[in-house]
Amino acid sequence: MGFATLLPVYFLWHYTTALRDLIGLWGNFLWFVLNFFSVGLLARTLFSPWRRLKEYKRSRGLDLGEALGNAAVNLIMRLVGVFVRAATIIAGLVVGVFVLASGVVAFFVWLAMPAVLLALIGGGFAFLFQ
Amino acid sequence: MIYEELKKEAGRFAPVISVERVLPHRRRKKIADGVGFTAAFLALPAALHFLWSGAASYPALSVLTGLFFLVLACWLVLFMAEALFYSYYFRALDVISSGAAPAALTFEAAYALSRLDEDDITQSFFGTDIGLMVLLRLGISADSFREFLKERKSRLAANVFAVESRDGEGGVGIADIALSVFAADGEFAAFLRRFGVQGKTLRGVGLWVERSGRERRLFERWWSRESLGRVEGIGKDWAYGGAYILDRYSKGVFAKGSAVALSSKFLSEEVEELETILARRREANALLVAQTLDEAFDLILGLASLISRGRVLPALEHKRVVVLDQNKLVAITAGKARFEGELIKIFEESIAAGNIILVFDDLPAFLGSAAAFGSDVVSIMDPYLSSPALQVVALSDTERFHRFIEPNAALMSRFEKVTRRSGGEEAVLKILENEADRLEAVEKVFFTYPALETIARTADQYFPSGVMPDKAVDLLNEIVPKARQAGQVIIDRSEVLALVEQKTGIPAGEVKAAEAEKLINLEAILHKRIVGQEEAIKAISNALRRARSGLVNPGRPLGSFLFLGPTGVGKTETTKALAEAFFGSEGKIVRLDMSEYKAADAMDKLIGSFSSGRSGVLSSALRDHPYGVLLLDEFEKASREVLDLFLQVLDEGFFSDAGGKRVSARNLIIIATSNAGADLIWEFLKEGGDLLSRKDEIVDALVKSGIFKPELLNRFDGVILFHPIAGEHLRDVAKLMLERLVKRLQEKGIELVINDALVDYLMKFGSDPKFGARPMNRAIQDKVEQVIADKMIKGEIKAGMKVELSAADLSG
Repeated sequence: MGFATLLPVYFLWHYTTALRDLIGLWGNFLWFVLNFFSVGLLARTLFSPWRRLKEYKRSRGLDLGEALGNAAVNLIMRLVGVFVRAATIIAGLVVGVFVLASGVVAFFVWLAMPAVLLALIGGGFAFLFQ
Repeated sequence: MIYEELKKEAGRFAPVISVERVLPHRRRKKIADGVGFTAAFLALPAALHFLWSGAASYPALSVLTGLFFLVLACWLVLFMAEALFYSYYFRALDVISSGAAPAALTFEAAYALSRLDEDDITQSFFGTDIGLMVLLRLGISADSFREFLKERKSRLAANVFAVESRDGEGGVGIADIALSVFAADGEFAAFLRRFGVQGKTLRGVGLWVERSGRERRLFERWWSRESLGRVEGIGKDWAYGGAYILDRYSKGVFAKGSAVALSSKFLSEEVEELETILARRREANALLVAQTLDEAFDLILGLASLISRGRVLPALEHKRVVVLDQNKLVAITAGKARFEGELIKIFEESIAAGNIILVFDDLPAFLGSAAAFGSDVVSIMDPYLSSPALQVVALSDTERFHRFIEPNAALMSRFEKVTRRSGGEEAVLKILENEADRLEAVEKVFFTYPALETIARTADQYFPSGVMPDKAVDLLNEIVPKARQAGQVIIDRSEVLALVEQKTGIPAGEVKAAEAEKLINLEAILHKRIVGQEEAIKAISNALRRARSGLVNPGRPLGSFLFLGPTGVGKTETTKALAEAFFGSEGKIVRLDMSEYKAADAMDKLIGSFSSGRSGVLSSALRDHPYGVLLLDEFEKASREVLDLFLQVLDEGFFSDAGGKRVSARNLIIIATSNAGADLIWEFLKEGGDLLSRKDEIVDALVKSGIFKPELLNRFDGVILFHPIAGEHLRDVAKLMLERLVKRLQEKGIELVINDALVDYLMKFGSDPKFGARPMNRAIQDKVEQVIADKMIKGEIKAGMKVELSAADLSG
């Protein structure tokens, strides 16, 4: 396949298959970020106690003090869980948004790449012989 | 598929192949790196040009900026070419891994096809990098191939060339093209056969070369979900509880364990079985049983690897595999109460944590330690084992499983047993290929495929302990330092056989000239020690030559003979001569007096006793000396049960000891000797005629009298009749024995002359037809040695003297 035949094949690839590949790649990175920060898992267990730490009823019968104390401890454990998980989810989402935005930029850079190439060559010679 | 169709299919890869031809991937990458570096270097003056107001007064800056643009443009072109290349290069990979519409041919095959010369397929295919790699893997050098090309008479043209996809997985591959060339080009096929290469080997090599390429690509593609998914995420265990006490007593699971565990495909069945058991709602406990604990642990590694890659059943997602450090627990607690207390805490905590798979990596030892504390640990564990909130995996080797765990019904009811199996040859080869790829990258050696085939075969045949493929992988790893010490880079079949020979003492390597000479003249060599007994010598020599040439059935002992004949006719001497000739030393004989195994406890003594836990004489002896000669004296005196045991040993080359562990006898030459039928032999001799012609009658008589079952006699490679020694033969025996005495005296500096008087005397006093050569030995000891000893003490014989004994000396 000579250069003359390769060029149209390349262009066809650049604006069809390559775009599909690029979107696939972008999807992989997004998936990685969400998986790395365990966004889905943490969202599902957002209100679970932190590391299952929990106070259990120890006395017989009703002990109001103990019940209130336990409820407070358990509430705190859940709040700690919510706080840490929410922070991680937010961090994950921020990185995710960044990856998403980078993908959009990459997408447009890719679309413009042949034109950029021509501009670089033209500009290069222009500066060289200025 | 005919050549034209193939070429059309390969057209799908045309763009990338064109790019590859102009500038191959590896070179392109190097150039791109250089260009990128230059662009980065030029970026500084370019930045100055745009950002510095005084730049206009420096025209050089403008030139450098122009260069920066042009270099950047070059880099961009290379980047785009690389992107195009990767798009096709990895697309073939996706087709294979996703199981989508099967491709008509693989990338490697398409690339090789693009380089084919239509007038000479053979040269152009095996002349490509990948074709050459196939030849090298076969153990054929490029020089040999060039020689072949010079000498051949015909060429394979494209119009008569067709390729079929044989494995059907990724379409036509390198293996298919290579096999088609092999089938179509007779001269080339003959050339390969000269190197011992058959179609099966060629196919194996083709698949290996292609798979290596595919795996390299998988590794290169770090951005695939498979690669990215291996990075451990954060927060996976936040929904689960901590296990602080357990962590104090735990060992880590090393996910990068053995090669076997890593090639999870091999163990996939067993790991899947384990996974299914652990994913159950209740009593999700597994007991892994293998020949050794390490082999059982491979399954744990396999499971841990599946979990870390997120490729596990939903019930096991995010689980932590924690191996309990049993020794630490026992050592720290050091008493019943604390031991039980800590164990209960560990179980409670594991349940509370909710994500623990608790592993006891040596359950029999754990039960033993607990019993030593006087703790009934099984009852303590029982409620937890039946709990739906905890998964327990326990490991045991086969022997202790049968002894300690199997009889405990309560414990057995809580566990589901998973037994690790040995792999088939193809699976073993795949693992060896992966391991060879890894070793080649690290150690800078090169394995040929025949070397791997030999490793797979010999590891199973010559190393009875352990399971496949572990022992094959061990052998593969062991050969690398040996080869490096010897300065070898290419590891071929002969290197493997040399190592096997070195480790086992069984001659396995190539038969060299000196050894060939010895094997051809084996009869003469054996006759130096054995007088007469032509049939025995012939049969044994033939068996040794068969064993040495590797033609024996690997599923049976190397050879097995029953030596029949009266006492003192050379049965044991023949065995010794055989051990020396084949294994290089008489020390390679394991001798059992079978008259000791006729009582009711004979089997217990031989193969061990389950109840007493004692190991057996035969099983221990064969484990300690798996290579050599097993001599079973007075075979007929053994009990019926023992004879039945040997029925299996002779037929299958192994038996199971009391613990259920296999003991191999496949690397042994088994010789059973027996005096049974001696009376009949004497009778026949008295009647005169050729004894050998009446062998069948003797054997029939043994069967009729119930001494041996016909099926047992049939299992031997040969039943050999030893005829009594008499006349001239006995004289030769006397001379042989005297020569031994001469050697012993030589060490003391005394030279004994063997004269007729001496031999005549021995023939007179040391000859008893009933006992063969045995009285001769006694006569030498009692008469000749005694006379010399007396003379030495009296000072009549001193070092440096020549001694000749007369009849008077001996009778005096």
